[in-house]
Amino acid sequence: MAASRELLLTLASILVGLAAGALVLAAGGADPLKGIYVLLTSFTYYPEILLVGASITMLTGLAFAIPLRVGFFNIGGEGQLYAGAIVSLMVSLVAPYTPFPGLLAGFTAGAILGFIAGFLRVRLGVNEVLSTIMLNWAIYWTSTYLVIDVLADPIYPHLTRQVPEAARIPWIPSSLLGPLSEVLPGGVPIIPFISIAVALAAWAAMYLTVPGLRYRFVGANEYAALSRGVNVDYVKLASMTVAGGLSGLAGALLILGYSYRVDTGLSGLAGYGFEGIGAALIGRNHPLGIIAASVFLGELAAGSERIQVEANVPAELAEVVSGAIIFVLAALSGLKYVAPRLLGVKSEG
Amino acid sequence: MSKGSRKLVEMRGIVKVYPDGVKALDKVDFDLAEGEVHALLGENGAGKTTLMRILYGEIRPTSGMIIVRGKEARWRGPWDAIKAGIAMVYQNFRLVDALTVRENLLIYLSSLGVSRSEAESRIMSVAEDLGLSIPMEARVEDLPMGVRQRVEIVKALSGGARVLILDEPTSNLTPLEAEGLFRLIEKLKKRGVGIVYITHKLREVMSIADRVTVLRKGRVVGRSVRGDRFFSEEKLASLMVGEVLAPQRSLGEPGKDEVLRVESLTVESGEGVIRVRDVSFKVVAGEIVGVAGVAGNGQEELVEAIIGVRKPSKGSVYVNGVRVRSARDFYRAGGGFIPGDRVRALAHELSVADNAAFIYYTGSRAILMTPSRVKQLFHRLVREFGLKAMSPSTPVGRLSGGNQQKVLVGSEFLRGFRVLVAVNPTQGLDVATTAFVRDLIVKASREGVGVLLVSTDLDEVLELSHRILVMSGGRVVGELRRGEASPERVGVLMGGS
Ligand SMILES: Nc1ncnc2c1ncn2[C@@H]1O[C@H](COP(=O)(O)OP(=O)(O)O)[C@@H](O)[C@H]1O
Ligand SMILES: [Mg+2]
Repeated sequence: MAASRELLLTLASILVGLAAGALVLAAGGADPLKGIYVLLTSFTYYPEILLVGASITMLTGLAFAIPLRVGFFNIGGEGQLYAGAIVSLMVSLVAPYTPFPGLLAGFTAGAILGFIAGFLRVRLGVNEVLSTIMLNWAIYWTSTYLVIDVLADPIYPHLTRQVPEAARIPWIPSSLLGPLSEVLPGGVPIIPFISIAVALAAWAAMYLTVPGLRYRFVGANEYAALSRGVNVDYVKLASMTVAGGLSGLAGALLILGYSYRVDTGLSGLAGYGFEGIGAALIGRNHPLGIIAASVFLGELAAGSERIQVEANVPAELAEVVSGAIIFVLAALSGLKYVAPRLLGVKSEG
Repeated sequence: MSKGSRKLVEMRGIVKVYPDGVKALDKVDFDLAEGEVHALLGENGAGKTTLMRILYGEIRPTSGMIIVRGKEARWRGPWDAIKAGIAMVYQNFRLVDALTVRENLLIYLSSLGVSRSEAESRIMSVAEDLGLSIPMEARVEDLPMGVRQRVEIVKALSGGARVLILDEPTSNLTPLEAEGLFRLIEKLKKRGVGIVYITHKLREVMSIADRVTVLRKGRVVGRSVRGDRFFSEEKLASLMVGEVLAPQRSLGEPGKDEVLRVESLTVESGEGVIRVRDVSFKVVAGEIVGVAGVAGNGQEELVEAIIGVRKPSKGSVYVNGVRVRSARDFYRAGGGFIPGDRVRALAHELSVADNAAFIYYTGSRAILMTPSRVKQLFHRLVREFGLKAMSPSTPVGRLSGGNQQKVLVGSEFLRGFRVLVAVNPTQGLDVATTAFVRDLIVKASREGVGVLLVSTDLDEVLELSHRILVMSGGRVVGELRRGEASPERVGVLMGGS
């Protein structure tokens, strides 16, 4: 009963979000209906944008959702993702044999950042919103330095060197895709499957294991957890660490499985961390919901690419449209979940 | 008193089917006259709260009607009921803990459209009229339960209530506070306020009700007016439970092995106030040691220190010879715990199955929790503990208090333990479930479990304990054996000094 109501609410918020997008389009002088249609149906034109976008957002979405359940706002997805990306790139250059060392290193880099923010909060009471935002900046400038100074490609100095062939995550070649090879001449990246596997694993860990049950209890009733022998601080710290690791992994997947390098402005990385917050709120903080929300956001990304051509909408307006949709969706979906926690209100039976 | 006076409200043919299919009420009639106390008696889950939430406009009946002063009323929400002079005071009070009493009252009255000055004067006159002292500037969270309840009542009356619904009003009160409440109710009667008194405690019906309506499984199974032949504890009890109660119980013989030892324990509150002073005792296998005392005399802190949730400032606790330094130590050493506060012990948004599994796996090193194992746990609760719940996925907060307690107690018993710390284990339970839980405890002790029973219900302590420790002001001020303990002797010690 509760689940179907959640779904209904989400669908309703999607409609409101699309209406907001239509308004923005109309205000910008474009045909709103056509624009929305294009936004929602572009995956066949830009399948890669959808697949890659969804797989990265899925992980940063989990990275926001997992700590939120125990009352932590992990705003550090962005920095954790940068760290994962840069570190995995560096590792792939040092050990250019398989993608695994890079993946592990990317996860670890993000996990360390998550751990730092978690530790500061649990032990010293430092607000995690502040610490993660500050870490984001620290990572941003460190990454920029590394990209310009250490990793720069001697031939194209505005780019880093590339991940060596052997350290890349392979794609499924289009020859194996049968009839789909028309749509996906370049083949299919594997990273979406990895992300979905991770999200399913997160779901299973939460709902099918005893530690996962304890974790959900810490979020639902901390005192009950405490009085039943759960080490609440440990659970909180672990959830921040895992969250950081997932963002780091997202960065590693992006580099090792799709872009293979970054530019000096880090523009290929920017935004995914924050988009994860949207995915988590739209997906109602549930791993399965986040999978669906990420696919939706991936489609919006593909759509805002094509809307520029099809509906003659400038790139900036396209961003505003998908931004408006995400904003409305996240606000409506998030309100119910976040507001009671922020206000400290408990619902009554 | 009830016959001649004017009817305030009447409910006719009320049926309520909850969205999940539970038929909570079946053609119930109920009425209330000026200046009377009409008790609504029934076991947990009988539908008492549901009936009154309908009268209060908080939920809608599936069918049936409400008549207020001769006219049919249709509430759109509680505010309509409040405007018609009906107010409800819940088991768990609905005050904003972080605000002061004054702020709470003013917010409520201003939401009814009462101006600030008018509100102040109404509050003053109500409090004065009833001779109540209300600490207006104190924060609600700092007040004892009895005072919070008075605030709720003043709130209701200054909002113009003529009908006051009290839902299990003594369940959170100390015996002394309950006495105060009864005196207050007498005063309200004299002023013509009609009171619906929801309870499952027969003794309370005997002491203050003018009339009583007995509900069982959503139906009215009896009505009685003070003085008629049904107005007795025995008659009402049999109406309420529909079965004969168990006779006086006998306990097993305690063994030799020490299973719980508390050594000169001193515990401070967060603010550094000493709550438990140098307490020592032990419990052997098969023994039930009762801790009696008025609530707030250090029992809560003592228990928290024993189960390892609160660090004592001095002293130590051993369970089966293992020193307890954390809650995990306590459970892993064979400790079991039945907390006194269901609200704090369950995760209300999570399902019955999740809550049961969480308790069941306390201290366990198990990793996997397969859905089939959890379902099995749920079915054992239903079969062996008489849990009534629609499905394992129902949020536990939806269950009645009695069923919540069954989840709590049942899961812990299914988990198993060698030492049990039970705090008010039957609080808020109906007669049959109370007897059931007490049987469980005695049975466990016969099987060699050592029990520490901390209860503010003196009858319970006397009925179940081999030995009784009396706490007052954070100290153990007396110890009595089963033979020598009587309500009077324990009562004198509880009074302290
Ligand atoms: N909000 C609700 N949704 C579904 N069922 C409910 C709800 N509230 C109470 N019930 C069910 O209705 C029945 C009557 O409950 P209640 O009125 O709380 O009883 P009482 O107050 O007499 O203990 C119980 O079976 C209970 O589980
Ligand atoms: Mg009730």
